[in-house]
Amino acid sequence: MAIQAYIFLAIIIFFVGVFGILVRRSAFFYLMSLELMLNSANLLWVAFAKMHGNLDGHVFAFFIMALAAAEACVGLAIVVLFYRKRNTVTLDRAREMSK
Amino acid sequence: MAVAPVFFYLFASIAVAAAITMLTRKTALGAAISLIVCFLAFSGLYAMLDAPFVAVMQVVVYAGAIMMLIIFVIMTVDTRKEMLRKERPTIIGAGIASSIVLSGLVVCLLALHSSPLGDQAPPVVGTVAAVGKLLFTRHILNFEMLSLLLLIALAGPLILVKRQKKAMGE
Repeated sequence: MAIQAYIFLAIIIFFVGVFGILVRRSAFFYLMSLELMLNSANLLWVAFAKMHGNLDGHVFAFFIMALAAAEACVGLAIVVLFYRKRNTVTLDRAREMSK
Repeated sequence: MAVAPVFFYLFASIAVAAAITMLTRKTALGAAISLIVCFLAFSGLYAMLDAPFVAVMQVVVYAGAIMMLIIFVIMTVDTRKEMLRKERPTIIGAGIASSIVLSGLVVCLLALHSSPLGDQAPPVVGTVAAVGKLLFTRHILNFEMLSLLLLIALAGPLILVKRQKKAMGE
């Protein structure tokens, strides 16, 4: 397969994630769209690693996975705290910063 | 290698369909399930790109650990009480428009750059041994910083929850 096919796929997946963050209001959809965007970046790392014939891209894809795990951990803790405080996970309710 | 395009289009269409399904689900749980399908399709793509280590990590870490954590929290936080606000069509329109404009921009940049990007490079396979060797030689500093980051991610939620409990007790 040509490398362009992988780049196009990564773009499509990335912008599905962007669309999810723009449109959905639930905190879980935010987190999951974020995971989707990180995954498309990962796909690009691995595709370009194959194109250039070295393995550094695989190592960085692994780093991004660990980063995503850390991000999901902290993000979900914040979601749980937000739910305890507000009894909802809709991020429209997070308005106290603007007051 | 005539089967490679077939599998690429198979996995790519599964990934895109699952990603779009994720956005159109009403409940977060259904979205999480379709996101797992998307991640498994990505794992197939990594396997096609000679990256077996990343493919296995995708299944274990993403589809396994991270999505498991998200589903666990979704089930803890009862989202059935959630009022699903009707999305305003302007917001959806703006989302679609900005996504199309931004992706069109990137596609145009790609089309301008028309040098032959191909498979001229010598093929390397990202086996566990090869990637592990690179991880512990050239990228050892990054690896150590990553372990520090994971430690912070471990301690951070604990501190957050503890502070919350103290505030509730007072």
